[in-house]
Amino acid sequence: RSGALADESSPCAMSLLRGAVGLARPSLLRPDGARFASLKSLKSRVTSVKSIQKITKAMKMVAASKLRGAQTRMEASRPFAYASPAEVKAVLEGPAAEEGAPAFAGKTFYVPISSDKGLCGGVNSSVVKAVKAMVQQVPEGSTQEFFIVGMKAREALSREFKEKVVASVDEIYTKPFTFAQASVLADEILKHDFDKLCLVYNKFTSVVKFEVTPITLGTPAVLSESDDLAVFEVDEDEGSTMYADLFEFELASRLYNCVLENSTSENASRMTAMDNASTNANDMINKLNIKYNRQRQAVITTELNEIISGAESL
Amino acid sequence: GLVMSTKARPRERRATVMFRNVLMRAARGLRSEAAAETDAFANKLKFNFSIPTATLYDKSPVQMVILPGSSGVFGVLKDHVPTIAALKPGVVAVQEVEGDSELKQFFVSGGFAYVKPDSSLDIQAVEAVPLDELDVDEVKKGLASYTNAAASASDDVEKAEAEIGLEVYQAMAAALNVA
Repeated sequence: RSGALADESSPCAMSLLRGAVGLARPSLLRPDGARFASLKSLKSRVTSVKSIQKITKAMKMVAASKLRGAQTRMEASRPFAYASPAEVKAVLEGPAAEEGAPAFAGKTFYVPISSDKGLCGGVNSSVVKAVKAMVQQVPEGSTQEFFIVGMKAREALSREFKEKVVASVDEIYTKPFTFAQASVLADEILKHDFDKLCLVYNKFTSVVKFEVTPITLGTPAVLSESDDLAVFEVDEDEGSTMYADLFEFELASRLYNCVLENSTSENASRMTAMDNASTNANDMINKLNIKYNRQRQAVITTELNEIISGAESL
Repeated sequence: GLVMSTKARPRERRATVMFRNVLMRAARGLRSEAAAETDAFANKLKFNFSIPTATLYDKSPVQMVILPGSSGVFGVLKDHVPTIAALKPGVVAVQEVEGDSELKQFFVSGGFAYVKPDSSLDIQAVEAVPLDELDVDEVKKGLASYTNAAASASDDVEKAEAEIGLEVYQAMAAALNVA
C-alpha cells in the first residue's frame, strides 16, 4: 500500500482521496505518520548504540591497562608460590586420582575464586560450572562446603547451594591483593574442618588462553603424617608445629597466586568481551544506518508521489 | 647430513667443506657452553630467594648463605643435607663469591627455607629488604611502641600481636646493632 505509484498520465482516485484527506486531517495519514515515527526511532536507536559503543571501548582500554599491571604481579608471584620442593607438593596435593578408584567420600571444602564485577566474558560462569560438575560427581555420603571469593560466584552458587556456603568474601579487588590478605583468607579457611580442600580458579596462560584449574590439597595434618618427607631433615623440637605452619604458608601462598591469576584472566576476558561488544555495536550501527537511509528515501519518494498526484488532481 | 652431488664443481666442494667446519666449531662451542653451565654450579650453591612480589635471586650460583632458622642461625653451602626449616625474623646473609668478606644482607620477617635433594637452596620469605634500607630511627620508634604495647596488652590476642611486633623489631635492632 505504501508504494502505490500513481500512473502519471491519469490521476488515480486513491491519490485524489488521499490528497483531500491529507489537507483536512493529517493524523489520518497513518502510513506517513508511521514512517516518520520509525525514522525517529531508528535515529534514536543509532545514538543509543553509539553511546554504548563508547562505553565498551572505554571499558576495553581500562581492562587492557589493568591487565598489564595484574600480569606483572601475577608473574612475580609464581616463583614464590611454587618454591617448595616437589616432594612437599606431591604430599600436599595427594596421589593423582586413578581410573576406577573409589570416589572420594568425605568432606570437600571448595574455594571458588571469581570476580566482583561482571561483563568479563566467561571466566566466572566457567568456574561455577566446574564446581557444580564436581559436586554432581561425588558419591552419596560425601559433603561439601563452599568458601566463595568474589560476588559473582556467590550470586550463582547461593541459589542452588545456599546451605553449603559457609562464608563469602567480597571486594578483595578494590586494592591490589597482598600476601597479608591471602594469609587472612587462609586463616579463615583453616577455621573449618575438611578432608580435602579444592581451590578453583582461572589459570592464566596468555591473553587469549585461560583455563579453569582445580587445585586439590589434603588436610593440614597431611604433611606431618606423611612418610615421603623423611628425606628432609627438620628440627626435632619443631617438627609437628613446623609442618602445620608450612601447610598454612603453602595455602596462603597458593591462594595469593590463584587470586592474582584469576584477576589477570578476568581482565583479559573483559578486554576481549568489550572488544567484541564494540565490534558488534559497530556492525549494528552500520546496519541501522542503512535501514535509516532506505527508510528516509522511501519517505521522500512517497511524499513526492503524493505531491505530484495531488498536484495533478487539481 | 650434507648431501653433495658427486659432480660438484671445485668451488662448491670448498663451500660445503667450509660449511661443515663451521658446523663442527659451533657444536664444540655449544658443548662447552653446556659444560660451563654445570661447571657454574660445580662448586657453588644454586640459590633461589623469592618474596610474594619479586624474585631476589633466581637460580643464582652463590658460595654460601646464612639463614635465621627458628631454632638458630645456620649456614648452607653446596651439598647441604636436604632440609625444611622455618625462618624467624632475622638476617639472611649471602656470600656470592668465595673469599668475599662483604656479604649481601637482607632482613626477612619470616618464611620458609628448603634445601632440596638436588642440593639447591630455596628461601620463601614474606618480606625481605636489603639491610641498608632499614631506617634506624623508625626501628627505634617501633621497638619502643611495641615494648609498650606488649606491657600494656589487655587480652591474649593483643598480647600475641604485640609480641610478634616486638620480636620483629628486636631482630631488626639486633641486625642494625642498635640498642
